[in-house]
Amino acid sequence: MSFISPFRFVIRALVFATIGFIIGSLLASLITGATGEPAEEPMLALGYAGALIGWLLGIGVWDVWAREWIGLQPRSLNAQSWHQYFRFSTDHKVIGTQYLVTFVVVLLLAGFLAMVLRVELAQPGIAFLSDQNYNTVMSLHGIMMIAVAVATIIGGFANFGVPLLIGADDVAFPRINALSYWIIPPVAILLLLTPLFGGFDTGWTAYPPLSTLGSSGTLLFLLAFLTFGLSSILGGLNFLATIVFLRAPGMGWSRMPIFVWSVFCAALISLTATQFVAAGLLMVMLDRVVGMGFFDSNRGGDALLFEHIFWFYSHPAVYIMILPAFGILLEVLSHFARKPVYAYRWVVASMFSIVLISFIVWAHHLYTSGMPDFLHIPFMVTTELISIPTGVIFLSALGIIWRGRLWLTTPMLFALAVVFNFLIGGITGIFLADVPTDIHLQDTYFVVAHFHYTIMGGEIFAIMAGIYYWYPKITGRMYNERQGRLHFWWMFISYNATFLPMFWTGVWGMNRRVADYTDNLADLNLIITGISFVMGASFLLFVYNMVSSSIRGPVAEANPWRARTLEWQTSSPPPEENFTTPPQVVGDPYDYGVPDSVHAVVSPSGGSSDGPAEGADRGA
Amino acid sequence: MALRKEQIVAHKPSRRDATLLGLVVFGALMAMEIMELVIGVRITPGALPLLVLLVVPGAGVIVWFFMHLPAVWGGEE
Amino acid sequence: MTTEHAVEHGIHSPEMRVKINRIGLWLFILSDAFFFVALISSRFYLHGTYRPDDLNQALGLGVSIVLLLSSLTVYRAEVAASYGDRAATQRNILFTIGLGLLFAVGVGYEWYEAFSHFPPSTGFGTIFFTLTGVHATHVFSGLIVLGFLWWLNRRGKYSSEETYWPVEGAAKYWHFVDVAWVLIYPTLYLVS
Ligand SMILES: [Cu+2]
Repeated sequence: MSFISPFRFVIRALVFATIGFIIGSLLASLITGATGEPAEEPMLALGYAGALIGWLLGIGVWDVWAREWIGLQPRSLNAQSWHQYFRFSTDHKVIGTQYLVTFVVVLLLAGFLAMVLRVELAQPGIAFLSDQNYNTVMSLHGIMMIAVAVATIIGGFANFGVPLLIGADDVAFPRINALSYWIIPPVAILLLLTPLFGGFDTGWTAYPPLSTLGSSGTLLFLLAFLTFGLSSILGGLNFLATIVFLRAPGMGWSRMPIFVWSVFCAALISLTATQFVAAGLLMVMLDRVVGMGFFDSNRGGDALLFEHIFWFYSHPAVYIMILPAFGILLEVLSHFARKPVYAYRWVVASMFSIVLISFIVWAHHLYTSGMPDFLHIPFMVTTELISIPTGVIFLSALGIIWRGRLWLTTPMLFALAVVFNFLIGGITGIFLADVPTDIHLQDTYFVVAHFHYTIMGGEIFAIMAGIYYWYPKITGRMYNERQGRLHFWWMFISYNATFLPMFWTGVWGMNRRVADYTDNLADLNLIITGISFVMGASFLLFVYNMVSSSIRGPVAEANPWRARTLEWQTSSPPPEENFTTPPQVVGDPYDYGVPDSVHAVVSPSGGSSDGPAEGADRGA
Repeated sequence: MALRKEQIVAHKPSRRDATLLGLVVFGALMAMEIMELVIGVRITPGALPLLVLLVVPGAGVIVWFFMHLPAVWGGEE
Repeated sequence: MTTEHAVEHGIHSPEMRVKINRIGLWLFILSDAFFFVALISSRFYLHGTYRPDDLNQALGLGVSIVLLLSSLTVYRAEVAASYGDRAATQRNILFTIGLGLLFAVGVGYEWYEAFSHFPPSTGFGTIFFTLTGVHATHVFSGLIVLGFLWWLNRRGKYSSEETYWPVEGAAKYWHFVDVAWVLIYPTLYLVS
């Protein structure tokens, strides 16, 4: 029994989910039985809805939340034990850790799928996957990595970090926070089940008519995407309310750490734009399951509508990914260069302009889709426009580095790599924003290389910086610095060697999302495949370092980086209420080198072992 | 704490006023709805701009008075 | 969780909690509004201002008036709750539920008629059934919330002006469902 008891809520959730699935699918078969329609997909869809509700009630929504609705006293499932990671805990630090661990696992799984793709692409022709299987692997890799990119920072780091950085004891809506995490496992289960239902070959973009046809795996993918969107919306809502209301006394808007600003901006996008992809996915499902005519021209629909709706979300979504990555970047650069965030106010203003402009650039994904020609130039101009605020943030990063005393720890190395990679990603983006070049480069490996430079080179490297930076705070132990630096150089070099050649294969006409290519590209692709395995192996070192350090690593101090922001002024890991006494913010977070400047007054009892925050400067 | 409670009470409209406000808003919305129907049935095509002119203030009235939008930035009510 | 810190700065004080809840609900409503915007834009993207002749205008106006009336009753429930008038709260919640159900019956009858004129597999039918269906889902979730409120209010949970936030919140949500209909009604019935 003692082995089962930590997992009893998971087991209960699985039982409830099964019951929910049976109820939902029975309901669907009753409805379709009455109308004589085919029953399989309605049964899957309604069954899943029932299973989702059952899963959530079982994992703890019932105890923590739903009892209140019928007038009973709710009870908390938080506890000072690792058991709370397997149930509906409302502690933001637990939820942040759950997000981080989950999405690092998803990152590794999706990375493994990328290795499978690279084996297939090592030589022209079809080696060991069928076209259909290649498409499924490619689509799964895509949607899983998108989920990693969207949720790791704003679900993981923002959850763990934002309340600590603003001196709060939790988020504004702890139960909604837990809900936003616990609807993720059903998403993962659905995606892993897709191969059993014939896979899906739409890529992560789910364009109709392909997504309205095809095997039932497509339906599972659509449901998973929709559920994931719900989680993203709830997360955004929570962080906006948290940042507005729960800042420690004295923390005015201009004293907020830049990472908090970046989460605020990303949350604005995820709160609003995500509803568009939800609507688009619902419309595809209605076309598919009920036989409606949104995208079917035989029924008065238009497939191009989906591309508009989809990209109205999915372009802003890249800023859900990259803005918080910029936040981590500037945060880490400032602390390890011992200099303030350069042009702080301009950076904040730029982030808000990015949010606004990101809503009017979506049709640059439709240059070759048959959209009216007169829309090309306006969308080209807005897309070019967005590079101005992005450039300001980039200049701020350079401004911090400029003549700073760089402390080259692992997080700092990763942050510097973000600057390098994003420069390449940003410059190659211009060719895709401009209509004349994009018409040729569209749907080639040039696009693949470009977005892997921005999202992997920019965001995943920033995630790595964040993981190493906050590792001692989260686990209470220090990672192995030597292994960390080795991981950095290994990953940085092999990453660039993998993706840089793809710009050339793209220019030479290699199509993305296709298992085959022309013979003249064989040598280059073989090299790329070889190096990509070297890059994949670097993650094994990372995982080894993370796992072994969390067990055997030296106990971390409260503030190993001598950083000024609030999360470092409490113990590692922080107590359940974060700060044993209230922090009082009295100055800017980044005034390194300014004599006698203090960010916050925190009682030393819960704080750093070597004196209060003002002594924390390394004397730059 | 006690002071704050008094302030809330002081800013709160009397129940009579609140009820009256509800009836006035409802009356305005009814008028909007019927004008919309007349426009929609009589003016074809070209009703769209006129309908927008009616609907936007109509929705605005609900958001402002029934949903107490000003309470978001003001204090209570 | 209620540390010295939290109490001192009022983060967990009842007034602050209501403020946070209120903003949370507004953010939810803002978010949900985007969903309706996506659907309403699709109507104009796909079909411009086309309108079939078979729409039942009398029924359209009828259900609209019923829903507006329910907004008035839920407003009165909220006012009553804010004055701690339990009986009036109870009465008006019940009125609202009744009007909501009447609205749902009206939409149901519309669906029955629409199936023969423009079924969901046709261009306008797709938009019509989706918009009214998504809206009806909101109505039903609102009715469930109001049902819980009725049950809890009967047990005296919202007897004072400090504890009536759930009534205020449910009323806001219900008004939002009404606002959505105020936009959907002309979109489906009146533009041409
Ligand atoms: Cu884009």
